[in-house]
Amino acid sequence: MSAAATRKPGHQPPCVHHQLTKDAELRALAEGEFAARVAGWERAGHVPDDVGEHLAATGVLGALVPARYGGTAWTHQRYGEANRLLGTLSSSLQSLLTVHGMVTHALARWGSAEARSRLGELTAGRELAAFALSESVSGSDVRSLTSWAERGPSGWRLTGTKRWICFGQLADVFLVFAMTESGDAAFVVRRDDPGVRIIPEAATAGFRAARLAVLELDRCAVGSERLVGRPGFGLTQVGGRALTLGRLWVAFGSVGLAQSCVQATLARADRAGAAGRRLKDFQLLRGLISDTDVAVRGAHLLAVSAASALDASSEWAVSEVLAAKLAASRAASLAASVSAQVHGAEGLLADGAVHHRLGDARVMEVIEGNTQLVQDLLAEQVIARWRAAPEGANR
Amino acid sequence: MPVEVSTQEVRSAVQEFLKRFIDDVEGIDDVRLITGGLLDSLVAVQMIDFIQQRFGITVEDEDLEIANFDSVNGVVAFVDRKAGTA
Ligand SMILES: Cc1cc2nc3c(=O)[nH]c(=O)nc-3n(C[C@H](O)[C@H](O)[C@H](O)COP(=O)(O)OP(=O)(O)OC[C@H]3O[C@@H](n4cnc5c(N)ncnc54)[C@H](O)[C@@H]3O)c2cc1C
Repeated sequence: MSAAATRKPGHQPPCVHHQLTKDAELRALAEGEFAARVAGWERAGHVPDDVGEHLAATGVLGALVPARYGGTAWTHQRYGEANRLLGTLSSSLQSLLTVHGMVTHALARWGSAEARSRLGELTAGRELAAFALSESVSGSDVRSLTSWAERGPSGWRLTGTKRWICFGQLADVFLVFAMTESGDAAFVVRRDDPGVRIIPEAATAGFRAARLAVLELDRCAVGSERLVGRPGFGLTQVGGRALTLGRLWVAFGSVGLAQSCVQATLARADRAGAAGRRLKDFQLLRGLISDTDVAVRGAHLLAVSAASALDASSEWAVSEVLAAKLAASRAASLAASVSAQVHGAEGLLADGAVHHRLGDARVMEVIEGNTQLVQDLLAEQVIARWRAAPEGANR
Repeated sequence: MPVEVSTQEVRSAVQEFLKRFIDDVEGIDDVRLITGGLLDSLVAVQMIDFIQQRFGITVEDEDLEIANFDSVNGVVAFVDRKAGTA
């Protein structure tokens, strides 16, 4: 058997502009209803409860679920662009697509027959899903998680505290990771299960409207059909795959965030000042404008390339996703800090969009693998890829 | 469709994959790869994808037994069973 016979064909070069024009419905929603309300919800620090219904009408909440379970089965590229689009408006709102997408995908792939039969509620937006992995002392180092699931006669009893759950205040379904006597595992926990307590997190500087919650589980009893995948595979098959997807959505969301910061920067820099002078004419600022442009457009291309690698099940898709996440979250940080700089004092208003977006960009470098962890993982991939094809035949 | 391969071919393909991530795969056949922390979760997932693509098998829910993936010997035995190799 030859390696060449089984290697997937290389994916097509990205075509960004084609993607940008798709999804008229989602675009209309973003530019109409949501655009009119976003400033209010960001100031208030919470995305309103009805966004799920609005989003559901566009099909985006079922995008990562096959049609047989009620999904709309979008490509990674198309869902990525949806994340980018919502990211231009609000990173808090975009984070709903990240977590709801990760969880619905995992349930469609690894859920029990019962979990799959309930997917229609999630794809139709009647229910929302959240991702509950992090704990107070188990953030980047997921292997150190302390939540525990005890096997009982008819199911499991879960105990532990999950932190920083995006949309945890609204979610009906949580994908919870816990240790068992046979290794790490993933479970579906429902909001109305016994022993569940949901407490809003204190306000965060970024993703301030993302309805973050703490999930407390106190001997929460669930049936055996709530296990997702198998013990020993919770953090790999279920969590690892979900995180790869989550990183891609964070990459696209970061590109959207960065693009909105660029818009704000340009609008400010091109405004005529006192003696008719415009900030855009200062050479040092021109350097910032061009560096940001290169970073943001480069990150978008990497994100599109990673999405098409996943669409083609290409062998190094994981590595492409890591590269996209690293580039895009950093591009967002750069674009947000340049925007803050050119806005001067106005950029420091605690309740202003410029400042909020700077906080959002900080979050992008922490969630779904912090920048240093992603660098570490990407280096491993780059070296492995080199070892697999030292002559570069695989690239 | 499972690809026809011999046990020895499976073993060398798995070792070839692991060499990308592990400096020295000499005498590694019984070492615990996942539970021993030798492979991080991303690479463990990549290994499972590699096995599926390379040998044309599908890892089903009921195949998720840690013994099937935690060592080179485990993987070789698993692929033998799934693909019915000689
Ligand atoms: C707004 C927001 C939303 C979130 N949403 C969710 C959610 O929906 N679900 C969920 O489960 N979690 C969520 N999280 C949690 C998030 O995933 C964790 O904060 C993240 O994993 C980092 O963990 P930590 O905060 O414990 O920081 P730590 O793991 O303590 O890391 C702190 C810093 O240490 C350094 N560091 C850590 N590990 C390494 C390493 N291996 N190599 C080099 N440097 C390293 C990095 O600089 C890192 O930024 C969210 C967090 C925020 C802020």
